[in-house]
Amino acid sequence: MQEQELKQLFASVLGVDVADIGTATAMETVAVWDSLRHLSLVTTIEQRYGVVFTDAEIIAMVSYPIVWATLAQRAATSASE
Amino acid sequence: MHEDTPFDALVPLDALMDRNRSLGRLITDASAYDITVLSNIITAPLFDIIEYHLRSVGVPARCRAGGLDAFVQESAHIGDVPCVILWWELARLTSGFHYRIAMMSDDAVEALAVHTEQTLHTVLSSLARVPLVIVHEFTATAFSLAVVGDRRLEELAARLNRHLAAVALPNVVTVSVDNIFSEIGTATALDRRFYASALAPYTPTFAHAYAARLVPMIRAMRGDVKKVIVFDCDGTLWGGAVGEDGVDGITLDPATAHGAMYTEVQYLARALERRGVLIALASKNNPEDVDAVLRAHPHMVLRDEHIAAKLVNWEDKVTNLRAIASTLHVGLESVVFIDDSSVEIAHVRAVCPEVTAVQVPLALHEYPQRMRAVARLFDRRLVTIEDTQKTEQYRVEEQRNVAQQSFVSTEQFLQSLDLRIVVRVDDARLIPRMVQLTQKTNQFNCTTKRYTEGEITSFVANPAYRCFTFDAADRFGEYGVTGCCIVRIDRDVADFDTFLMSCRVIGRSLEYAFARCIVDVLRAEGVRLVRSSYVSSAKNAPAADFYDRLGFMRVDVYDGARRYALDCTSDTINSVPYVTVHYAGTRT
Repeated sequence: MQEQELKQLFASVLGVDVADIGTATAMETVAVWDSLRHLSLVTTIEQRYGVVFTDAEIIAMVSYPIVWATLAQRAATSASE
Repeated sequence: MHEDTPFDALVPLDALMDRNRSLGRLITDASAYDITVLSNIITAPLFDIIEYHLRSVGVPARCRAGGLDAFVQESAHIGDVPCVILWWELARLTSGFHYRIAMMSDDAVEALAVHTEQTLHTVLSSLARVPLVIVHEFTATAFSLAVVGDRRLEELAARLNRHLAAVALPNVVTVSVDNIFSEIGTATALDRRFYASALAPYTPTFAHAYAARLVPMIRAMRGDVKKVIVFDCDGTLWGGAVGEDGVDGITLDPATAHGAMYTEVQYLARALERRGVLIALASKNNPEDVDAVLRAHPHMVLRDEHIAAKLVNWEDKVTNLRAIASTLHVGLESVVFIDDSSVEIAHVRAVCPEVTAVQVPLALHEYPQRMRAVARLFDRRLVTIEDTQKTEQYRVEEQRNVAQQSFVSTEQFLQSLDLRIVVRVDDARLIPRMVQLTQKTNQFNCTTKRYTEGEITSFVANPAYRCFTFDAADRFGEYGVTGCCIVRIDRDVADFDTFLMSCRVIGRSLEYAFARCIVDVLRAEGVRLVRSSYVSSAKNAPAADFYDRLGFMRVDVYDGARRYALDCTSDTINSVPYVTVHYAGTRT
């Protein structure tokens, strides 16, 4: 999983420049990232990476770094299996 | 038609959103085809996909969601839009209806059925001047209780669909959601996580299948109806190559797995031909070979007499398609072209993008289904409905019956709901809900201040603050705690820090009844002046003129906020005749 690829996905879903995606990208700071956009973001990530998030993960994923960490954790879990 | 239409592999969602956005930049207000979606669920996350499919075929679509569950209110002021979609979810006729029905009496279900029929009739009458109204048929499939022997949801769906058919004006076209469920399965069509958390049950996969039905309807409405279907021959009407394999060597025997696929496609083509669609052939072959198949092959379904134009030669497909269009006096935009060769398809798409070019699927068993999807492009149900005179006649006739069968006004509709709110103040049990409302409410939110649990808890405990809430209900069910107002009091002056209401109850005037109750309570406590403000955000236009309508005076604009005041010793707020208010006070 490439970080640039995830950033590009964020940029596409949120409709912002990919250069603006980073540690500060969060629901709190990005106006268009509201609860409905969040839903599109989750389904898009799930489609791209072939994962299904739990309710708790979906609620917790309120920033780019958290999404990245959640995906990395998923990748690590599936690699060790 | 672009590569990633419903006929082909689905484009990844992120790429789709990028492309939809760039297609959207080309749309001007003058060119836009605006679609208003009225629903009792959240559908906005699907708009990217729906718009994308429409924009990909040249319809400059822009989707807009009306207020949640405000069919009557929204349709009464629909304005000049070309298309409205009524996306009416049976499960949400009242909050939690799909499970609450298990405990409802037959009389209660009957009352809800009658009410919904009246509502439907009212809405369709209000929308009589909209050129195209797309209505989803009601379905119980997603939430059936039949497994425990209760088929009332199914019966209600069937009843409402019969009513829909009876009251539909000529501008109404229905979409069968059950048909989509049959095609892709409810497990794929629905995401119950998002129904639970956001009232948004439908998946992107559903949206793609839905768009495959919607796009032809809207194209037809815009006069963009397909008229001619052009088939390649080898690999498209039969398997193998007649020039190599001979008439007897091609694959077309319905008793074989592959032969049956070609036979089925030919039957579907014949069915189209019987409805007036012109069929043509464009094949790189020796003409005598193809003629021999048409004349003599025992399993051919299409014969010479069904073919309107036949170009069998060694010219390229683009040249032949142009010749066919010219011979049949149709534009290339009326032509669908089917071929098994990806090279031919790519060539046609590149040179004649107005032709809808569809490739035979590599997995041959999918071919008949793709052909069924193609057949939708020839839907002629809509061609005549632009006859506005006829629509007008229906409309007048409708109005004669309207008094008995539907509501004459939005007020009468709201009156019939028997709306009630219970207003509470500083109820500590409601702190988590108040936090959630301040965090999540975007539309009807005058100041959009987000609060944490700690902050709300301190407001509730602080004597200088009052935290008002209301729970709403109507004769069919409860909406729960859906409004919140946080007031800071300093001697005889009260400041509305927060005034918000969930989108679930917008359009019922509950906010006015709530505000009146709050002002009455404050006045009784000795407050003489109420001050409030409206701070514009990206989403809160629905609350923009709330305080003006309440009768507050505009004081000034300060630091981006429009500030208001109400002298509550002299001014009162009008009551809302169709909302009953009960003030429960502080919990003791």
